[in-house]
Amino acid sequence: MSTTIIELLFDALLETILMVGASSILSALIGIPLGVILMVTCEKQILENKSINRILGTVVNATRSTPFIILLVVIIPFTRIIAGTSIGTIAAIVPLTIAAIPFISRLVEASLTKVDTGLIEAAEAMGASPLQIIVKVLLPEARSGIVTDLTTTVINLIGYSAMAGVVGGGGLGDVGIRYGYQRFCLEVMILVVIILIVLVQIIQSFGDFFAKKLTKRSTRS
Amino acid sequence: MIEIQNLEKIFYNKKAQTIALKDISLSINKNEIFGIIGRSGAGKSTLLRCVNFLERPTSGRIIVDHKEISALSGAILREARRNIGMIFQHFNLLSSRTVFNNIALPLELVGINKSEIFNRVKFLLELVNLSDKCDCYPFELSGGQKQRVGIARALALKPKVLLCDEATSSLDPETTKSILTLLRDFAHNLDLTIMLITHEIPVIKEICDRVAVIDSGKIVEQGNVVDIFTTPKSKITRRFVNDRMLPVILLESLKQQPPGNAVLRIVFVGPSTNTPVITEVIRRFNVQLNILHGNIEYIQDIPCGNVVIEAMCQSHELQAAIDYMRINNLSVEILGYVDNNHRTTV
Repeated sequence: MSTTIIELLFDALLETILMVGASSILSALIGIPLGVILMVTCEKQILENKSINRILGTVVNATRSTPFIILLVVIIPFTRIIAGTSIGTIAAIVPLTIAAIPFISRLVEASLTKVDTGLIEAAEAMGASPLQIIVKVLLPEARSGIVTDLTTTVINLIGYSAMAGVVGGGGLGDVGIRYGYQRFCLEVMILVVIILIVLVQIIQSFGDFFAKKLTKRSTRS
Repeated sequence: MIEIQNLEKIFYNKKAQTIALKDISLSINKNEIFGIIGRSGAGKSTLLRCVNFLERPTSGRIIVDHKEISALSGAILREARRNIGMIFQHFNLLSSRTVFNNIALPLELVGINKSEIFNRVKFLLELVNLSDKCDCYPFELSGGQKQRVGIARALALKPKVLLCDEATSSLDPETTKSILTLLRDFAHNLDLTIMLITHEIPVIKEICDRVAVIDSGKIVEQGNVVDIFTTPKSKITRRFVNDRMLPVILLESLKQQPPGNAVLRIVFVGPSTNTPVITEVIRRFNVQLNILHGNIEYIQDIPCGNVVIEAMCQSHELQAAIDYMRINNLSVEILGYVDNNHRTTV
């Protein structure tokens, strides 16, 4: 294998890691609080608020139902405002983040809903405020589930990032398409797929490890 | 200490409305252990939750320790709740926190500093005898241990009132006993008023001073535990008590009307357990008595006898014997009649 291919793949890997890493962190920072809001404003929850819940829910659903490749193009003006440009790896972070926020917030909402309502009741009986319930009960009790949610999001973002080539974002997926598909370089395609499989495997294992470490239950499963 | 006045709770859903509690009035004294018993769905859990406003009553007043809870909301309500501890059937411990940190939670919420929390939690752990489990997580504990953590947590803020929501219903009889003993000790030593709900008769007999029987959202009877259990007045209370006292085989051979021998339930409480009234009855009247069933139990150290006998005699002799027993402070009730040969069918 020529050194150019290795260099090419290495650069692409770095681009993928940059895009996925940055958009994961940004989407977690926005998506987790959004998930919390979605959960606590639900009917019969600690801060029940039908209108907020409905508005956020609709926005989240709308974003989630837009195919990523379309979202990528549609929000180009917005990307330009945020990133200063609409082309390149940094610019690709914007649509990736926008796509991942609703995804992560729904997952987090589901994880929080799984927390035993008895615990919320116990905290209320102790005189806990809604904010204290979120910080001291909901998030700690759901932390293992949230780690799993983040793992799923990162892996999902790796998939999305393959499409970032459309806006010149680069990355492994882009190399796979340009060299493997358009130039019939089968070995590059195979290498890209292998690297992606390994990458996903590593992330999944790390995620599982931390999720398990944070679960304080009998370890049968 | 707890005053409930004309409490009403109605659950509304899309089409129907369900009346969960209707015109409940209760008064629970300081340092009293007050039990509420009822079948599942009777509304007892809703009633308990109304006391600390986990459930908002539709109307009525609730006063705990001279504070009208029903007039509070927001931060002031949360403040008032700190004076009311609560323990639960399923313990409701945080799985992500150790025993120590579970007990520390209510203290953290009020913003007490770390060293004070440490001292208070250590004290509470000793109180419930769990010092060695300090760093364990809830999943490593048995049911009884979890409930003791629950109790320690509920007592962390030195509340004046403790609400127990079926606190022993998921524990085995032996563990139940140890938890009840613990609660009784705390009521005496820690200046605590306890309101508990249960569907288990033994729990009421073991620790309660007074009891209210609740059915279909209404209080059908309330009073001293000994009185309620020895001389139940309402039908539902009687069913609660009788169900557990008469063997099925005897119930099946009972008839409502004569002919046959009368079956009497004789209940004697306290001092009358020491007088030989039954012997006197046999001497004075032409009556033959045959004991079918009976027991003497102690409800809060007061002996309560409960004997079911078959009386073989003429009807006027029977009436005279019953009158004599009543004069001597025994409570007598005719349960029904059995055929002379009923034992052959048994």
